[in-house]
Amino acid sequence: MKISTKAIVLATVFSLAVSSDVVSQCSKTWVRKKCVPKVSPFIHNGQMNSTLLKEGDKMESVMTFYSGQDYRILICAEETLENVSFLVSDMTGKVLYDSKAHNNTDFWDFKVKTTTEMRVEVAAGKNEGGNGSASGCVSILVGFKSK
Amino acid sequence: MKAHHIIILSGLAILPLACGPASTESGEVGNDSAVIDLNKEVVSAENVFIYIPSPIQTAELLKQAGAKYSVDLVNSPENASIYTTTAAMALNMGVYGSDLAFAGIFNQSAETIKYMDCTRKMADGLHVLAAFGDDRKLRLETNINNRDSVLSIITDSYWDCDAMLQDNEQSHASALMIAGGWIEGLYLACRVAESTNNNDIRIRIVEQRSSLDKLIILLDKQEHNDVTLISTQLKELKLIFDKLPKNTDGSLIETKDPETGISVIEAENPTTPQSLNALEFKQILDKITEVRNGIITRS
Repeated sequence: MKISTKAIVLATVFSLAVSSDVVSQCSKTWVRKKCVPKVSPFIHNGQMNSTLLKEGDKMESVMTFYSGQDYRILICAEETLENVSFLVSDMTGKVLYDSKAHNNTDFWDFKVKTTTEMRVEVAAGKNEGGNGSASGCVSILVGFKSK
Repeated sequence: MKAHHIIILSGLAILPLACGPASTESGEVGNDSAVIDLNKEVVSAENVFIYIPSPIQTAELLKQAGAKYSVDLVNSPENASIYTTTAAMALNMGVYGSDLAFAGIFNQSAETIKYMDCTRKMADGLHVLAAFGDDRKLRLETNINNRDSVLSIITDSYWDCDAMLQDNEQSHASALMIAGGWIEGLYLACRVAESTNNNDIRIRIVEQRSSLDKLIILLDKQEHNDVTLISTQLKELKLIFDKLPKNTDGSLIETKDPETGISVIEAENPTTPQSLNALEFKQILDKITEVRNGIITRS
């Protein structure tokens, strides 16, 4: 059977559209299964700030942290992104925690003495040996301790 | 959570602890800390998230400040039958969600079940009952004496409702739900502070100013009359908060707890936490009571 060029183009466009729909959604189910358990023993505050990042992309959130509380900030990323790091900084821009300086850990536990806002910035770096086209879901989760 | 993605650069004009003006100079690396390079690329707007404390977190703060549970403070379950419009149901799903969190944090088993039923009723009216599911209610009842499980179930239900409303293209209802939850949380804090004269709770009330700013940003993204009304009322509340002095420059330091090694974050130049004098407290109490009572009495 002869397949027309038009049919091939249409099929390609369709498959790209479908696949882009599939990768453009960060599944809540994935976040709940893969990420939320890692918040324990802290209580997850419930918000799942998740998005699809490509190599080179960034995401961020400014959050309020209350005095007298213990927190965990957890960054959860799909394995397609091999080089995800995060920074936590105060509102003057001073870096308080850099995961790259701590063996690229995916979480940071801390206590807060002064109620304050901090910025959490997540970066999806380049995969080693990759072609720069990898993408994956990345989520910022916060847990607190109930006393 | 598309409705919560905003352009942070415009939002910074409203946030009280906004970053300083952009600099054309590179950051410097100090001995103990590093300054972010202000020439870095701006984060894409769709990847910037608003973070608003959950009702569970607000209730936890109240408990740690010494609050006690009182059934007289929360919205009566009997009111659930009067809410018939989308706006009334969404707002009061937030209100009942806060009441549920309040009951859960204070280990009030019977009240927890009762308020789970109220929130389920609202969710049903908004066609997002699947976010709760019969299994979730069963899990709650089965684990009612396991506090961490109860809090986890409550939290998951709240945010699943939020997500489902947005998926159903009811982002205005999602915003109203979050607003209702926040308003009830602040109302409960004010009522507890009023009856106990507890200064720690007054301090916590002042600390809600930043989340109020974020909530207004969230609401203003919605072009819907019902949302505009609540946003207008919250902006009137914001005017009261804006008169309070700001006693922090946002500069923090990180040290280590000598016993556990855990990081400790505190102000570089600590000052006495901001509280409220009698007049300031009354103004906030009166305004939040007006807004909240308007929500629980609307049909």
